[in-house]
Amino acid sequence: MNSTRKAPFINLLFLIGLLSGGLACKGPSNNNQLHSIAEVVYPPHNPKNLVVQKLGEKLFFDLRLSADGKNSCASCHLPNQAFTDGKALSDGVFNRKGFRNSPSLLNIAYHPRFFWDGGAMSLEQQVFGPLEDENEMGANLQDVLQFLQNNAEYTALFNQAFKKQPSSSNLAKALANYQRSLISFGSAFDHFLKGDDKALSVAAKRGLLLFEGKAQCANCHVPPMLSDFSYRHNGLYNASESDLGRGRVTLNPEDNGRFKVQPLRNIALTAPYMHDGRFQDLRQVLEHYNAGGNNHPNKDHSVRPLGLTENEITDLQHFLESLTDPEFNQASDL
Amino acid sequence: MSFNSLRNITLTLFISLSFLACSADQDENRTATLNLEIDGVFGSSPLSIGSSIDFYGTAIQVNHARFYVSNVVLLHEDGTEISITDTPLNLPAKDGETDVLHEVTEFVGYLRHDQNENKLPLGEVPSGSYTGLRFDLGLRGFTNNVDPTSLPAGHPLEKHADANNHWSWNSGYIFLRFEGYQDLNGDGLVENTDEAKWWLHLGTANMLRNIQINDAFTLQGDQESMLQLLFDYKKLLEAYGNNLPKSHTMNNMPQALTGANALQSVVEFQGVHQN
Repeated sequence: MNSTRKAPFINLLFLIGLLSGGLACKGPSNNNQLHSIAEVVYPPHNPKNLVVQKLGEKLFFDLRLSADGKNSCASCHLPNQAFTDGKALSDGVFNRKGFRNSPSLLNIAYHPRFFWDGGAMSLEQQVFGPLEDENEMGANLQDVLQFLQNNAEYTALFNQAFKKQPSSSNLAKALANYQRSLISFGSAFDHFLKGDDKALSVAAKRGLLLFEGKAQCANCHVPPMLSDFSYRHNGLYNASESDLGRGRVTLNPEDNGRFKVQPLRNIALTAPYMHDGRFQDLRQVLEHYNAGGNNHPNKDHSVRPLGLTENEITDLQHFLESLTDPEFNQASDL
Repeated sequence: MSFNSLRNITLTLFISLSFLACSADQDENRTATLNLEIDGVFGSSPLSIGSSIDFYGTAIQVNHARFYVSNVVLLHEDGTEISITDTPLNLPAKDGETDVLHEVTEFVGYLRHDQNENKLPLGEVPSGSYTGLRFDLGLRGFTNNVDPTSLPAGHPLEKHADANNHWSWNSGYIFLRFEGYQDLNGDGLVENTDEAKWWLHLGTANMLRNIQINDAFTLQGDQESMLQLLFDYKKLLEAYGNNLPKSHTMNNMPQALTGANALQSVVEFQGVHQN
């Protein structure tokens, strides 16, 4: 198992041609090439398994895993909010505030690393972060396992899924297996990429051209995943802030203030924005980038004043809103 | 805790400083069964877990005391080095952003003094005279980068539930976990509060230390031997003077370095005895 997750390259000229109709239409089959999303890769030690996935879903929504019995994974990752929670910083156990904004879990399977700073190398490892963090679910892993092992329903489900009793490893695998199933590629933009020219409004098409061109968004939010999953300083962090981002993990000062470039699908559903949720709406985000952000030695060279007009910002917003997938519905009936 | 598996001997020839004439000594071709015992002590007393300990007039309590041992190498007097290996395991790891498989071949042991676990089986090794040994306190290279949820149950590198042996917000193992509480208000009683907690969690490549033991010992053929070392936790705390550490490594690198740099001095050779 040696794999590299990289987004397929989108031909900008072809895309412009598609929008303007100036090029000879090559037909839907070539549009599908633009939308070639790789299949989700499951690790050999945790292969795709519907029984394991269902167990993971149950665990994901179970409040009893937290220290106060009032928080589950779903508390910060609500299905009807694209698996975010609408808060700048999430609420954790005993009304404590979390460290960062809850990112969306949709398409999380495509991320090479996890958390805003890439601290976790696999979805399985990532599970223990929020589960044990004192400001999130605050759980003692041993207590969680004791609960699961003493619960007849869970011991039966774990036995069915793994032929073993609940363990830290199986707990992580179940939750990771479920999270890998959270896939969303049904937005208007996705339909447009597949050849439906009417899927995007005229304004959204103008926004797409800006996204790929003048606004420089695609430098970091590379289609089709709309992220290159790198860590960049996007003009937010300054030296007075305590959250070092990627620098906390690498201990490299050049990584201070760098955070993961988040994919943008369903972005209209995941306000507020940025690692600390400081921007309340998309307009604020776009105005931030248009202004060029704070100056800092680590700021990415792409982030600079863009000179966008108000109408252009509006068009960009229309494009971003076209990234909403109305089809996903992972709400649990448990 | 021990991971039961078949131990293989790997005879690794690095330098042969002198060639010894073939001896008629019957031990030469025989092997010894070797175990490594590292006893946790606090000064002149055995390390006590969960009860009050006097540390220069302040009452403290130790709740967790555990660390990883790996890459054990025995130094034969003829110049050969015997690396203790284990059944190879191919485990998922990360090379930058790329998923890779890393083969763990070196012996890895997890000593938990807070669980009265102080022995590691090293397997069959050549009998004879040795000038010492060395080992890593921690995990080296990609072994520190493997996915702890991919290990078989009971393996030292498995994600443990009773006390975190792997960072939850960063990747990598906690090489040494030494923590407890202290008496803050001076009434002679240890307080189990967040403010009274102290901890030393060493991890990352910078905190890996190779411990050298330059004491000679002899292993008899066809016998089981225990190579005994001491790990003096009191010396580790003494490195911090009057202030007990509060370091997860990342949050306080200087304190972590103080602890890591003291590790060589807290390990002491006691001898080898036959079981």
